[in-house]
Amino acid sequence: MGQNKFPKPIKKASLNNNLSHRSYASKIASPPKYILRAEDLSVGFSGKTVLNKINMDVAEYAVTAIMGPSGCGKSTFIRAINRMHDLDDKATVSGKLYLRKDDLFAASAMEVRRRVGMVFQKPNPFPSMTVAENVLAGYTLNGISLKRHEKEQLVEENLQKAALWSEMKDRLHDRGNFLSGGQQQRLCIARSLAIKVEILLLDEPTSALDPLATLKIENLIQKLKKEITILMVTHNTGQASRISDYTAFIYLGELIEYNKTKKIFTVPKDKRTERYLSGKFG
Amino acid sequence: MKEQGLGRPRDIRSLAGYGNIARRQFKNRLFTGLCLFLSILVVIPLATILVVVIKKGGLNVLSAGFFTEITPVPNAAFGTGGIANSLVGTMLLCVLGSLLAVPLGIAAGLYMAFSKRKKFCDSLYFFCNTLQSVPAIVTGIFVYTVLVKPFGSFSLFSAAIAFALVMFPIIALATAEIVKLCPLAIIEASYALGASFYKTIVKVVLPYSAAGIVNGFIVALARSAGEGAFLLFTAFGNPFISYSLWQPTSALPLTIFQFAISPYENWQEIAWGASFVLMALVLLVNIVSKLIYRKKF
Amino acid sequence: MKSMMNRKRADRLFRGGLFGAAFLIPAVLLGMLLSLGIIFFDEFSEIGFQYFFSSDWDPVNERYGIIVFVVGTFLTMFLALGFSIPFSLAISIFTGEIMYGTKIATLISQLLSIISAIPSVVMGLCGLFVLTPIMQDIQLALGYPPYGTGFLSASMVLAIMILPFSAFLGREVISLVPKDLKEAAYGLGATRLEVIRYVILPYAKSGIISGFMISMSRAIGETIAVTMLIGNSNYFPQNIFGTTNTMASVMANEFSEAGSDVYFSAIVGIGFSLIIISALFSLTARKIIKNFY
Repeated sequence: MGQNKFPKPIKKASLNNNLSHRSYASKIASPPKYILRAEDLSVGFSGKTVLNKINMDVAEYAVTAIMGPSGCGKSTFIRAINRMHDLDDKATVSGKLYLRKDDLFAASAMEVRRRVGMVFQKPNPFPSMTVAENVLAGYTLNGISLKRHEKEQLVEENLQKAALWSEMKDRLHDRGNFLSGGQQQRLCIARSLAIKVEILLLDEPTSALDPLATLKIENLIQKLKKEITILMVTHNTGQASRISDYTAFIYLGELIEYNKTKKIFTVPKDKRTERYLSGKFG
Repeated sequence: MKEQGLGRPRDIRSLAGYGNIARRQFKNRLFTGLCLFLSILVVIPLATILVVVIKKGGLNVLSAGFFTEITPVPNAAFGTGGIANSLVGTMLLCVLGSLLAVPLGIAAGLYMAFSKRKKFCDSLYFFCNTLQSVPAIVTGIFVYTVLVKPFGSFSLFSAAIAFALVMFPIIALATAEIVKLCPLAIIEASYALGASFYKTIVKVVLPYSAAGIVNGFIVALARSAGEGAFLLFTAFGNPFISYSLWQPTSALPLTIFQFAISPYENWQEIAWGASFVLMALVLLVNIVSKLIYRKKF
Repeated sequence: MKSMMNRKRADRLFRGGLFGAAFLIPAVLLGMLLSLGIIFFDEFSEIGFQYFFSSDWDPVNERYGIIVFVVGTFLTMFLALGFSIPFSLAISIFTGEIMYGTKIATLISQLLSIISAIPSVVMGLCGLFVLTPIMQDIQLALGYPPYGTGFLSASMVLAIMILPFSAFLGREVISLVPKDLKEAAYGLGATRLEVIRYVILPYAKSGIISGFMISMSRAIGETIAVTMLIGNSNYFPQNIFGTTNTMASVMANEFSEAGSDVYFSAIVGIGFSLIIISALFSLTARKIIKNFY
């Protein structure tokens, strides 16, 4: 089974050498080793195109930031990676998305979401579950039963990773919604890490938080990139320049520029990027 | 399929989940189907009731005389007699009960929504909920003990009081709920123009909430008009048309109840016809309230 | 200046009027408790304490015990609740989540609101003429005396009558579950069933439970339909098809027969107990809602 779900893996060599493939190659310093590739990805809602033919590779074990003015389609992009558009009847997608060699649109949405973690703008721990249950929610929700020691291990390990263990270890059995906003957001990150996702999508994870909590999350993201690929959306250019390795600029549904963060912020190639970075719009 | 050269080693258990996906999706579909099936099943009792009432009540009994003649004696010929006395009784009850319950209910609802004494209002909500859940038959007994027994006779008056008591908490709660939805901004705008509390309520809040309050009133009216339990001890029933406040009166639910459990077949026929009329009235009132409500919101 | 005074007076009058109307709520409730309580406790020395513990209701020999009716009330109530729970949950989930906002959900809600508008006496009548013949056939086939009426028939009709109350509230609270929570759960790879099971239902739990509480208090107070269907015998039901009485139905049946003061007080006492039960129910419902927030 499953053969019909996945296309035959594309040969590694052909993928890696295929850098001349499509027009984006000219715009991008393609990351040396990438985990996610978008090919001509378009998303529309009730016939209106929100995202137009995005071509981009996302580097493994690095932080990639997507920035752009609000309404430009950057959230739509990462929501498509997690197949969130499946929940909306009016959404249409075309193009391809590959995670490693697997076509994300050919696999079942549940499978995709198990491998692609998503953290939302507003912290959303499950209020009916305790801190520990929230960390394990991915298992509960996928109908996987764990032994007690496995649970304990997963909770501790992932709260450690999310830099939440020292604050939470005495409150593991309190309800998740009594935490501060920043703690809630880190709990949501721990929840995604717990199911061992391969790529973590962050949709403006700090926009609902105060500066101190934002700083903690940014430090956490820096630390996490050693073990996981992070793709985050932000409308805060300062944040993108502080913590990301690669930056993409999306404007009106088009990928305008994608490059190493240093290059984008020092020598932007496109006029629109320059104008955005100098605060002219958005 | 499981390991397509995925980069890092993965936890065994999280992989176990992959194998189950087909089963989980099957379960999901089964569940969705079950929900649909159970939801659709609701049609069966409803359709049965409608068909039976229309067939036995609508076609057999409905003739011109049914609305103008009074209830027949037992074992009278089929097709003779009607429900004029019950119709008159029900109409009088609706009018008198509403006249009492609507102003009081709206006033009580306004108080619960706007009073500054939050603790007191909180208990008022509790009392109102309790009053609403007191069975109608108990309301009937209460009115019997305070009005019927001291006056020495069942009467339209005592039935109307009981009718209003059933409506009162429903209208009060509905008003309180709906009035709270009135945006603070327009209330403040009214105060800012120098309007008094009274003017603000009458000219701003009530017009804004009118549709919701009317809807609450109609729900309450339908509940009371369809309820026969309290009538047993207050209206008692009357085989003749009576307009007097101090005489026993007949009403549709009462007639249906008394005639349906009687052994006389002509009475049972009347009960079916009266059921048809009562149901048509209640449904009509409900549809009208829906239309009013939809127009506003 | 003078108009200002007048307006202030009008305002005070208006506020007083509102307060007066609101004060009617506890006043009526208190009035009910007092008037029924006085009549009940007036003859309590005659009725005796076995009233609350005895299952022997024998007005001829002046023995009054309401346990049969209490048991009958809660038996029909729980049975009706049991019948309605699967339907109520399915409709709540179907109209509040799976098909929320679609035409079919609206249609089902409208059918339910028609059911809730059917007068209880019509429900009883239809139960008597449609359900009891079916039950008689079943009883004959199983070798029971074919009464047709009984607490089982009453519970089935009650189940239909109380269904809309819990289904409507369930739909409301399920549709109010925040979208971001559902997205978070889907984001972890859950199917819709798993999202419903682990996120939506726990979140909406207290609302769903208070919906069932409303259904239960309706079932306890329902009189006419139950009186028509329960068979009206003052004994515990002998078997699953047995006849019995509920607190409300015994009042409807015997109120007009009460000749002596003691008999009358004993019946009024049932009404008194029902008020207490209603108060306990709304108190519990309030606690559940309070715990939630």
